[in-house]
Amino acid sequence: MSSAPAPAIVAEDVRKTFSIPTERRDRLKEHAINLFRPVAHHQFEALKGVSLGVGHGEFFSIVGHNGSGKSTLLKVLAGIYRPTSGRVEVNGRLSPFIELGVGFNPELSARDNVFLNGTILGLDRRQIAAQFDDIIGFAELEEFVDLKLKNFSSGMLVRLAFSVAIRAHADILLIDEVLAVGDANFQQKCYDVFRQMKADGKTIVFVSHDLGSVKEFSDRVMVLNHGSVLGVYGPVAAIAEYQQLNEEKANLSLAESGHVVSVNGHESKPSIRSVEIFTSDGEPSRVYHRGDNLRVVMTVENPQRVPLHGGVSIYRSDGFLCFATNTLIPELKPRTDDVFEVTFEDLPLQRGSYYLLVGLFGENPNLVYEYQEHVCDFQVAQWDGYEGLLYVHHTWNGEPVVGKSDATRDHRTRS
Amino acid sequence: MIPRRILRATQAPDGGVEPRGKPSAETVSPLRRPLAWMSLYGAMIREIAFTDFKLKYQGSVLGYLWSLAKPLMLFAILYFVFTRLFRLGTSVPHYGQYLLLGIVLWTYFVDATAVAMVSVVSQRDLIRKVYFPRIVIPIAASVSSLITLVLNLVVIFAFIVIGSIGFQVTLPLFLLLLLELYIFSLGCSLMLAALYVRFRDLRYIWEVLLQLLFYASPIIYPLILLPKKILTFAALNPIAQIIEDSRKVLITPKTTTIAQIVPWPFALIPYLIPVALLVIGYWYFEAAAAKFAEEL
Repeated sequence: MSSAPAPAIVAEDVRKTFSIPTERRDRLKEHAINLFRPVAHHQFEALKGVSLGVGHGEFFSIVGHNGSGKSTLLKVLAGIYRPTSGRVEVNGRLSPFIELGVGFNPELSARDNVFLNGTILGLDRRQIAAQFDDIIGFAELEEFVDLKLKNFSSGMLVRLAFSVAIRAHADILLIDEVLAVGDANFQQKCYDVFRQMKADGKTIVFVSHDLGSVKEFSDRVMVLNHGSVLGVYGPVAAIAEYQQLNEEKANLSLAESGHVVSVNGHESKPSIRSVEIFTSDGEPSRVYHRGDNLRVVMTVENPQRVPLHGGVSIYRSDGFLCFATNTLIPELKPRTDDVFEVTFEDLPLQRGSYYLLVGLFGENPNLVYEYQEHVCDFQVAQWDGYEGLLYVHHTWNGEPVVGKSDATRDHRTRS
Repeated sequence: MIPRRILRATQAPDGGVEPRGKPSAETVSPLRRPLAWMSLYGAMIREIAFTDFKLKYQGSVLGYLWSLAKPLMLFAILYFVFTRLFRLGTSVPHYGQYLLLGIVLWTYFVDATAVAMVSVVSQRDLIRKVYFPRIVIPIAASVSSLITLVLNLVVIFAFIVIGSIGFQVTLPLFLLLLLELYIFSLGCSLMLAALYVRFRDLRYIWEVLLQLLFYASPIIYPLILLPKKILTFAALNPIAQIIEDSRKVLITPKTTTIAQIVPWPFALIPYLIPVALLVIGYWYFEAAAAKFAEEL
């Protein structure tokens, strides 16, 4: 091995094309009958020239829609698929697992499965035996060691699988959607393990739909779209990019559904005319103080008097969704007039810049008439030292410092 | 035994690291590569093999005894037929031991190839989700049948002792013949396992071929009883050679072996077939293995 620190994973222009037969022939008989009529294949390009480099100790996430090629890429990196062209280089010991619980046998006890799974991870019997109690302890399955796996609940299975998988003596881990399962308590334990792995300098490539955990752990995030790399960003920017991709997709469906309406209505489909925001005293404003009411008024053009639902989402300037609501959730009747109005009482946001996303859709929420993003930028101005996304009302026990009046500590009071 | 191509790390063309949790097989000297490979994947082969063996007899009252019962029952039937009804066996000295040895070796070949053929398909989950050399799976299947063979051999040795035949000085040669049988089975298994991924009716075709081979091999009869015309041809079958040689080294040196039937250079053919088959089987399996994850 060279002395220069090569990146943990390098992929250069990796392409993967699947050749999918249009008919299934898996019998010799069928081949014999159709000897002179070869099966037609259609080509599916899952990866269209993906390049990436992951440094040692980096937590690298991959996000993208279903079918964007995330899992295929992970399988190529793991060596399960051979790329059609391109080059993959891995420098370090790679954990062979990309999914939990693979290789478990339901007819065997938890004990036997731990040994079976452990050897697939590259451990030998002695190493597994030494860690056996830890594995069972972490999974909280002490009472079920000799129970057959077929009698386990899905939660128990996941805990056991995760507990075994983290024992791999690997520097590089490829993880596909593991945290989608398991209860909140165990998820927390998994997060702790992730933090520990990061602290230990392990390289992790993580594929997930869970933007929360992507954002929390990632150093860099790659956004994949239809088999191509859209870009590699910091976690916040990547999530914004990914969400924009989602919105483009939604707009596409809007365009399609809008078209249907315009056939009947001669381009008179409902649309958003204006969006305005007001403070509690009725003034249009762009600066808010925590505790204020925020009133959003969306005026719509609806000549056909189509029944409509409206939605408003509040985003932080970095693209983090703070809150989203629409008239379907509280089961309001659809409106046929032209004003939607929603009041956010006692806005609990911390200081920062925010913007709104508004939407207009029909009785069937899949029929989207219009989305407007980045409307009504506004600031929350007040800062009093509390941190985080939200201000949570709370009370400490203890006495105030002498000289401070109650009024100055009351955050609802505007200065 | 294990050719060095298996040792290639999947990802790193320029000498990267074997993606496993142990020292890299790439970095050790060429002579020690098979050893390094075994230390990497031996535990996995052993664990899968023992699990298969355990699962096979789980849930039956007699458990492992079934693995002994199967060839013994076949033996009992054939012994009755050929000593009481057809009198063929009575002309052969130690016919019981002769027959049992043939059946046990044959049963191993049938078991090993049948289990290994479906092994890749039945482990599809593992293959689609985990990276490891695919050849681990058919090897584990062949090892699992080997456990049954060892148990059966204990019975054979008991019969030899009961029949007061006494052990020959040539007994150690039997181990070499077992190795040859293993190589032959593994070669067939690799071929079958890779083909079975694409041709799922291979199972029935193989059953018919096995029936044919059963009667073409000197299992219920000594080789020498065959008519002269087909004798030479039948003697080239490695199964025939292995069974006859085993009878010679274990039971009686009077057994006719291939060397007495076929002239010298051609007598090597049955010994070479298993090795050739292993090489071809390995080559074919490795070529097909790259696409298993997609085809399964």
